[in-house]
Amino acid sequence: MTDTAPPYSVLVVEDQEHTAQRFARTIDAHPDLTVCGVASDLATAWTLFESRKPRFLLTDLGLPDGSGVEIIAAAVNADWTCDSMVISVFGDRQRAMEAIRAGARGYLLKSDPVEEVARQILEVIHGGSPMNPKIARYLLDVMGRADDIEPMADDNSLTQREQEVLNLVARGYKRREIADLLEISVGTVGIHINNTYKKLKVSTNIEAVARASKIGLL
Amino acid sequence: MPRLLGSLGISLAVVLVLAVLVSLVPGQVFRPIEGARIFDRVSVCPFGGSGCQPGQSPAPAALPFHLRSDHGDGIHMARFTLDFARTGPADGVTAVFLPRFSDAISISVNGDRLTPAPWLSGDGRNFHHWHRPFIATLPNAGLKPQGNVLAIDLAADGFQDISLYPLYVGDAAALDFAFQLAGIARVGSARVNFSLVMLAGSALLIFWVMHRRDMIYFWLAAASLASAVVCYHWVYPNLITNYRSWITFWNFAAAFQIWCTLSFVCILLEAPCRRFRLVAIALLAAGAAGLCLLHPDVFRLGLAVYQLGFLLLTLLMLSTLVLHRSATPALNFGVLFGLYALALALAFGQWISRHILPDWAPALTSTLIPVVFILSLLWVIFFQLARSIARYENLLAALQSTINDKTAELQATYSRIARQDKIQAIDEERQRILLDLHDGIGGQLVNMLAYMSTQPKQDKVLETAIEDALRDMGLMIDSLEAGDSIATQLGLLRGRLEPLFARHHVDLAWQIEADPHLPGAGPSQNLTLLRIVQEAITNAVRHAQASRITIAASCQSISVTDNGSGFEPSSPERRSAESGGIGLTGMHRRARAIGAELIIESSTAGTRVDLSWDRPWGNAPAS
Repeated sequence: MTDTAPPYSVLVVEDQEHTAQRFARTIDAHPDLTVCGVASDLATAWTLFESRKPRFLLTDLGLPDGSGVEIIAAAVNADWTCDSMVISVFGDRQRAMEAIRAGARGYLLKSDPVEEVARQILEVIHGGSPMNPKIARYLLDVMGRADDIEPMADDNSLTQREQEVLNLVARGYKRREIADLLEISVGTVGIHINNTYKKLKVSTNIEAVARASKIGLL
Repeated sequence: MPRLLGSLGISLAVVLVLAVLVSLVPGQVFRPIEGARIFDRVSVCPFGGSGCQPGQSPAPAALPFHLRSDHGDGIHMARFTLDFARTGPADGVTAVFLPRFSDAISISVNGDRLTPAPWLSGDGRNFHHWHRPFIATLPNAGLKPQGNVLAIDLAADGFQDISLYPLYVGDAAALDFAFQLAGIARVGSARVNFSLVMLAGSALLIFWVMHRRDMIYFWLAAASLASAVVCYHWVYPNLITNYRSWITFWNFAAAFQIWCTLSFVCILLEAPCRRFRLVAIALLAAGAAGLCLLHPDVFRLGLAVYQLGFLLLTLLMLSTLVLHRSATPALNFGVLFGLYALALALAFGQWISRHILPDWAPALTSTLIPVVFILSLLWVIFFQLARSIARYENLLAALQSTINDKTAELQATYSRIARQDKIQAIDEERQRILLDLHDGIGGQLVNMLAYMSTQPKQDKVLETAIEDALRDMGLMIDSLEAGDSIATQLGLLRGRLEPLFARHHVDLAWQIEADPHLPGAGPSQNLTLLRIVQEAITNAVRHAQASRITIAASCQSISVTDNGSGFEPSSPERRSAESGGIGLTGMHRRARAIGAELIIESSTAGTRVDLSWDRPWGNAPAS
């Protein structure tokens, strides 16, 4: 498998049969994507992952024999390039963040339109990071900085521009709309979003901070 | 300086008054003893060795009799003789009892020496010059009925007097009893004193080590051990054979005891007397050294001056006490000052009797001074202990109150943690239910939709119902996860409605300019708000066939405007039945429940649903 040339191979891991097939059909229908396997449990997923070496992993989290987070982590550490996304019904925040920290590049809603699924997969493959309001809200809560605090050299908190972008994402604005509102290019919006993802991965204590703020210790 | 002179005057006055009081205690009385004869007239041969010297005849002497040497060097002696008759039967015992004399004694009866005279070989270790009692028993068998000659040889160092007081000869039993009584007051008390100061000294040393090297205990221990040297003089043979050396050492020990006590007083009162103390000890040591070098003829005078010196030091110590009395509780000052003044008065009396009035024999002897000193030690130990206990109890009380405070604090913390644990448990439980809904019902509904899309026969009603159910679940989950931000929930709602817009080719204008805030509202009120908005949007898409929908939000309002076909707002029942949603009635009811105003304007050119609020939801009119 090559990293660059389409069609890109996609492994779908989903235990709901019809949902899995719908995704598989949707992905296969796109000229740049091809499904190299569909697994309904973790064991099958491991076998397919090792043998087919997919370029892209699309997985549910709650599988009958374990959590999809395990295979996401394996995709990060694989010998070949393999990006991953989570399939979620509603995009519940706790598991979405867990998957993102393990290395997933966001999540797809099971109800997302056909063309949206393929578009987001390709965006990730091309180095972008899909972002949705819930994750944006979460990032703003745990990494946002009060305006009156001076940024430090090794500061991992968000810049003012990144906060503005995330704030608009959290309110449901699309990239095109954000670009218009802030009078910047769509690409720049994508760069800001990519940067916030990087910062999230660097901040190792983020879970502790989030929990601390949640139970009122901070 | 005037203050020092004032306190010196006060101290001197108190000591003199005490000395007068002490001198008023009747001196030693030589009462007749039944069964014995008292002798107060004897013959004396001064400076005799073993009887009167050739050419010397015994002179009559009345007792008490004092003989002063005309030269200070060597030992001087005197022989006192008297005739006595034996008492009792021939197989009985006659005794000779001397309640008081000085200094070393040896007696002979009818020419036979009964007790040794060690001074003849130059041994001065039994010179003590302190008037201990003496008894010698004489078997009647060796005595004549009448005309027995008793010779009493007394010896003293050249600088001290030879003294003989009235003595008794008679029934041994009666005299032994009197001897024992006299012994209690003198030898007995001296031994008890010695033991006590040794004991107190050791105890104080241990106190010193245990009480973080508190110098108060150190100086008292040193004073006690010096006092032990002083008492040793009356208990054991002298440590040094040369009597004058021993006496010099003994006086220095007494002076050192006073100096240590002064050091204790200075520390107790935190008085600045370091220089004074250094000068004093230097003078005392130099004085003692000077005594050793003094010509024997003036040793007695030097000794008197030296003793006067350390008596003066005691007086200065008393004035220090007076001067700095405010540093210690009045009771402590009173007891210490009283005891030290009494000791000084007693010592002063002894000095007068020794050096000026040898005939005056005060009843209160020098062995009483250690007793007074021991009393002062006991008082200090008791007082320090009592104060330590008081401090300890105060500390304990303070600690107890701190512990109580901290315990209360800890309990508050515990209950707060317990509350938080409970909140966290509720939170985790909510998460679990959320995940169950998500993976279970949510996943299956999605799966069902996916299945239905593959079937040739499409059931639009069922599909819409399932989609509505999924969207409502989405709203619920959003409200649990982002319930405090209406803007974020609107954003998530948009994401879920995206497939609907796409299917109906709706052009969406998204204008969420601020985060709408419903004052005083919680997640459940916000959820109600979102349901109204969702209903308005789905109505516009499904029933008005709108091609453009504008969703706008400000802090206090949310509006949904479309360009659809409109409807007749006054006949909501029709719309409700047709849509299968909550209908306009439901939207109005929900708006009232959260205290918001819902205005719906509809025409053929489109519909505008305007939701606004200007007061906290809790204050909504109860209509």
